[in-house]
Amino acid sequence: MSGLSLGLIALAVTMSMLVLRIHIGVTMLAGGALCYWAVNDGDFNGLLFTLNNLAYSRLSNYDLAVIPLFVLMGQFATHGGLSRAIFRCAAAFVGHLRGGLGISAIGACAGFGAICGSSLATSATMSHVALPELRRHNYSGRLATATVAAGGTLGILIPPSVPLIIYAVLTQESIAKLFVAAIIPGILAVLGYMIVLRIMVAREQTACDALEKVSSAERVKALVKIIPVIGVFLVVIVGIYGGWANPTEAASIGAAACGILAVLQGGMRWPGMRKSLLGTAETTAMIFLVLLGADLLNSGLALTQMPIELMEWVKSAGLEPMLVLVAILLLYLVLGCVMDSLAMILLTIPIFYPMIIGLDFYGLDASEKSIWFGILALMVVEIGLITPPLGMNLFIVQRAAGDVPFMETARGVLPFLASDLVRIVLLALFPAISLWLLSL
Amino acid sequence: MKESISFESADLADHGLLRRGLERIAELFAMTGGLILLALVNMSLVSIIGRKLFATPIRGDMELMEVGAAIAIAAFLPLCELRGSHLKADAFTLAAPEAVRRVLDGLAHGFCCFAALILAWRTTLQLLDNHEYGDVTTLLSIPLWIPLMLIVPSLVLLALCSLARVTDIIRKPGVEA
Repeated sequence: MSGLSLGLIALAVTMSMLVLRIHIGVTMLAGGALCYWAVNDGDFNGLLFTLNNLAYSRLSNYDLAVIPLFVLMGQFATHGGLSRAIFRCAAAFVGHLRGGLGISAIGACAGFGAICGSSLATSATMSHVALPELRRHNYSGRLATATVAAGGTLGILIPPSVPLIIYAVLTQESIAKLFVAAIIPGILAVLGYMIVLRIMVAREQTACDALEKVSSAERVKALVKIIPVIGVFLVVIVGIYGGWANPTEAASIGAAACGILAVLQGGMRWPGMRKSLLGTAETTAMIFLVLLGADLLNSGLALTQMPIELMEWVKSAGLEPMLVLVAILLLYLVLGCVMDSLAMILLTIPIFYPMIIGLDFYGLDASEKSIWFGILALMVVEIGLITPPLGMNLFIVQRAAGDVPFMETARGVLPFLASDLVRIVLLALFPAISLWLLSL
Repeated sequence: MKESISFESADLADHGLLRRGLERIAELFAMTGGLILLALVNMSLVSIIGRKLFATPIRGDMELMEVGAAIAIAAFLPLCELRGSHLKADAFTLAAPEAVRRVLDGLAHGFCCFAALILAWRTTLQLLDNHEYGDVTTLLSIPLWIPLMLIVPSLVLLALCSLARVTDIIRKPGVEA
């Protein structure tokens, strides 16, 4: 059997087990095991030998250790009430404008996203902080929930971002470069959402009251409260990019700083600490079971030579590179509706990445291509969080709101989705948006 | 990316003593892992400060991070399984009858149990190997069998937790697992 068909069979087995509600990590282990077994002509020894060191070697990977640390940082930020200070500060500055409170909510999501690598945590915490305020100021349920759900995706678009770390480890790309490359696209996302919100507010039937304008002294006070948060973000990003701390160390600094802030400013005590640690445990475990499976699946697929054969085939078929890219992105959009983003990246990047690197886009070199594609993939994959009917952010925010029908939230989020799509097209057409900061 | 937020587990009152005990142990493992993680954070900070200010980093800080993270992350796995928050794609079976879903979930946890047992078995073999050949880490010469020995119990506990989920499903028809 050719490597290509063997690899495809392994993928098909993985996917069909996945459809049957089996843990994604376990399905990948099975797919990988199948590859090893078939490549060794039905002999199990190669597989068993690989399994000997699978658990320890994956769990003790230094680059991956950054994940539990960033998760811990996000948990401290969530349970330490840092989101409230950020939201208040944003509201103090723009709350008096028309639609200002909604803009504040989006800004606060972005700010929180800068210290938290998770979209769901961002939308969950913002549901508690911003949603009641929005409703109290006569934003319709549809607009208020959609704003927070869409804003939640900023948690992951703005670095630190766990999927980007995983992309970096899979492709041996620099985490620092990817984080920096994500900054301008992240800002674009914020602006896009704000513009959409402004338009929606203008079309709303309900009032969308503005806040009273606050004095400069109040503003300064609100700003002072979030200086530590800004500091944490800068230390982490500058520390990594400036090269005086590696990502794992920077994540340690970030986790420690957020922990201290949560205790001093947010009044976090032992129950909050316990919740943060257990929350970190659950999230980390969920990520690493998939990582374990992906490790076996990817080395199994590599053994079958399937990714390389597929790349050769795409190259020799003379397909237009842009067409391949569009096909991949469309596939991500569809998969994103039914699958978790992390699993999607782990499952597909080892297959698509060689293809993208093998094709020519705008004459970019390999490293530029890999960063550009990483950011693009991140953006597309995260859209899955707010695509009806299964976007997780929608569920979280809608449940937190309590009295808004799911369809309302889903309909409200459509304009935000449109801005996401526009941004992705821009990023695909102009790689400079991601790469420009790196060229400085 | 999916992440756990709401957290304290559901009503435990109707679980048996054994099941509650398992829950406690899994929680204990997770908390221990969490505390190890906190210790690693501190270790990392001390190392950075030492390196920047006094040009004396902690020797082998990367190794300590690797060893510690492996032990901590392995200890996280069982709780996640017991609380049913490992990632799955449930979108395709939303419309399926509940009975079908329950059978599938039982199967899924069974598979997970099987995978955990195999990993525990193979890791134990690796541990014995490392012990026999006296493999150590590069800088600090930590014998490699020690961290491996510390992750095996977590893998076994993971298997037990999946088994508990299977029995949950068998025992209580009508309750979604």
